[in-house]
Amino acid sequence: MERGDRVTVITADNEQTGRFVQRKNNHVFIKLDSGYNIGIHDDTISDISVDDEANTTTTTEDREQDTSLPDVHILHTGGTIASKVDYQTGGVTNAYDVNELLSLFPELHDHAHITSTFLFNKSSEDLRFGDYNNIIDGVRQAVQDEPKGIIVAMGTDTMHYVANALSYALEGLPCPVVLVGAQRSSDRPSSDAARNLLSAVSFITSDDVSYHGVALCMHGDIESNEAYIHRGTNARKMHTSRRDAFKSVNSTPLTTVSFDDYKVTEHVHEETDDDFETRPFNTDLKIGLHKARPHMHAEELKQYASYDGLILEGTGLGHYPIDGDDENKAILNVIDELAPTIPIVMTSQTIHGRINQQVYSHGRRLKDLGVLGHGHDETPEAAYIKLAWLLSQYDAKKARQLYDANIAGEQSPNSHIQDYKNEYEA
Amino acid sequence: MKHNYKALGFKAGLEIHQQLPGRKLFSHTPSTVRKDNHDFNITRELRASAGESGDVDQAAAHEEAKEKQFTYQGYHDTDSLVEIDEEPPHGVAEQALETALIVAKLLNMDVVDAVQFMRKIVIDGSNTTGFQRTALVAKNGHIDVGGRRIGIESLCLEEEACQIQERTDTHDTYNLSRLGIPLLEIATAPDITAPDECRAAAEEIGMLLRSTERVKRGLGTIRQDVNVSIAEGARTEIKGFQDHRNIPDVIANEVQRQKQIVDDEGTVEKTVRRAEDDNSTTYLRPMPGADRMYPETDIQILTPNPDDVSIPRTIRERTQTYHDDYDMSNDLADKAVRYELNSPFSFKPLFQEYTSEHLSANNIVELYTEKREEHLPDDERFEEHAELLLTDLSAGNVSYDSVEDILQDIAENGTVDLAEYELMSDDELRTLIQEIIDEHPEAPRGALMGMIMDRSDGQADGSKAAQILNELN
Repeated sequence: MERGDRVTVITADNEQTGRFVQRKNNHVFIKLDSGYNIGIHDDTISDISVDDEANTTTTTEDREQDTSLPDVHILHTGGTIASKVDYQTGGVTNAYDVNELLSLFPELHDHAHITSTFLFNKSSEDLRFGDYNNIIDGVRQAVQDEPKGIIVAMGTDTMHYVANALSYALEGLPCPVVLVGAQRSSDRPSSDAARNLLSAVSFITSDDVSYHGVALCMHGDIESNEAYIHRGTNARKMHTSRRDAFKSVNSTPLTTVSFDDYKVTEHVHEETDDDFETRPFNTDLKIGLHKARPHMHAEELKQYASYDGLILEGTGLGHYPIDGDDENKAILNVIDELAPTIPIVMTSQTIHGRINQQVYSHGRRLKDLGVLGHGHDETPEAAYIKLAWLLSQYDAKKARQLYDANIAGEQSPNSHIQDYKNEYEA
Repeated sequence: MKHNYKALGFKAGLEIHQQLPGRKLFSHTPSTVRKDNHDFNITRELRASAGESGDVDQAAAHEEAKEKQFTYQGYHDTDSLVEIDEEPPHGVAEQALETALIVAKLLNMDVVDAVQFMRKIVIDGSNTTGFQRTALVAKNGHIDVGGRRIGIESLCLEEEACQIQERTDTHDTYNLSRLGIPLLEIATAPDITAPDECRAAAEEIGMLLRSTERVKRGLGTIRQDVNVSIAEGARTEIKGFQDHRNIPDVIANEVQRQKQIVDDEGTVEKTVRRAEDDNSTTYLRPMPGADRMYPETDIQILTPNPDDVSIPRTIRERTQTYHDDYDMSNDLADKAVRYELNSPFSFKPLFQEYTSEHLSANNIVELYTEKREEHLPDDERFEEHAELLLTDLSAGNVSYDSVEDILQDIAENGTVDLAEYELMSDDELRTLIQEIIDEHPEAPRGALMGMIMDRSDGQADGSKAAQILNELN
């Protein structure tokens, strides 16, 4: 019995006909002709007969693409941006094939000539540095065909880590690389997938944009107004579920794309003539990320002795509990022992704002021990990727030296009022 | 308009939608429809995705062709992120599921072993998600109406949609507060063979729903859609009945409309139409194709046990019991049950404690419903005096004839001294009557009775006075 087979399930006092969906938790699930799925308990079933009539599947004729339009290449890595429903069985699958994707988003025909590559299908929270290297290599290959730009379609959970990783690993990009996801899967009529994807394509193909870097494109609000194009090193997922979950942290988006006409609102010109080079991640690295909190214990920090680097997610301006109690003093001792052997970077769990280790004695003491990060405004996640990438390319000493350099646009010398807005407006 | 419905091959089925109280089906905001000024607006668009064959559903396409924008007027208390499709649904409201099981039993249905919520594609903007979450809870039931058996095909538990405020060619505005209120959808088989039977079936289902005491009451909380067809016509879904009593007239007019088209050698299209105030129907939209549904994976599959709920006594059964056990008129028994349905109150303990030779169950119901309604509607002061009043009435200390004066007294003075209404003893009454006879030896009997009642100032029991007058005169 295969998914989609027409079956009749016979029980003691009844028989029900529909399409077989699945067996799960001692129930046989069928989709009735009314469209509803119901479950029938195994114990009550006396027989299931399968109707051998062939399932009719109609195929649609693919619409020809306009090859005079700019080329945009899409790399698929998973996520729900290309989800489609088979209403016969109610199953949700992914449309990785170009023609399938174009039938899901026919508006793409008006903007670009689309090609695509399936890299892998993973939840973004499952990605490891090896997967990053696959994406990096996917971009390297796509660039050879000289497209106007490249889109990386992926799950949104860790999209901001990937955006940072690509920002460092893709040096001298000759075109934009834009990460796109969906907070509502594309099988839903209310999905944000189509608008995010069209906005990314519009950004890439716009005459007002020449951006040789990595960006992330998602909804800018919870209405149907505009998408934000975030710099790859600045975006962060700030909400579990809202469409506008991604924000530029400690900066503002590069530009916005209006859903009215799919035009960018601010011109973007950031080009490079450098040679294109990919510099992937070392998959053997172990980088820690540790969060300061009240009543923590020194013991847990000791495990990082076997790591290659450590990001501290401190409090406030960049502090750890290192005084006023013996256990706190033990924490200071562990940091003191670790700092000479592995690079340690201070960030803040406030997410917003800049690290300053000169203001209070706790900060000064950590700085004196060699803890990096003073004056930086990267998020803990951005710092995590930056340190991992540096340690993938260089030894610990060189990585320490380079940590203060602005490598991929991750640093801004000043903090501005508009970088931090509260959300309590009516 | 009279038709020979049998000769026309008339068939009809009902679809009843009943709102449930408590929390929203998939969030923890209250199931309250708001009419006051909204707190925020959200504007959105929806898109119809192609089905597995590349076709966009007919009704879906119809809506998409409009390329509409939808504005949702929301309220901070009734609308959370769930209602604006910015947060996944919370777990199903247990109370609503229980109610569905109870109704399934009342409708003699088989509850399915595993309940799976589905996403039913609806892109007219009435759901922010673009689909309605709905689950088939029970199948294969029946009700008996006027000696005929009408099948109940399905009972679904689903989300109520937003309420339309304004429709233009390019922009629809919806009130968001109604979205997500739990809704029972009951669909009968097309077993109904006459318009009056359709109305009776709607009334029967309505009575059963109210019997649970777990459904919302009032305007707009229950809606009936009627599917009608005649042999040479086509299935038409009629929505928007303001009153189920109009069902027969609207059906008669719709049958006439279809007959006219057939007579003019036209073809009747399958359409959805709206019942208008003059009982005619007007075109709403083409009949949607088969519902496009797929599983709502954000919600756990439920395996309810129908044995966990018990079947309540129906309003009809309760009315019958009052009628049989307390010698109550059908009218008053019905009033008593209705009164009970609208308040956390039961007459039964009162009947058991206070009925006597002086006070009947009919009296008690009349006192609580009609008389109270007239003199002390919604007035808590009635409750303050009810126990003493019932005690005196039951013991025969106060005549039931006085209750209107007593209620009026409370209404005017805020309180009452029941002693003022206490009946005279037989000896006192006898003395009074003898006095009146002595003063008016020539007066006819009727005049004497009038004087007795007048002079006793309500403290004489009429029948007792007549009996004593007979003895003395």
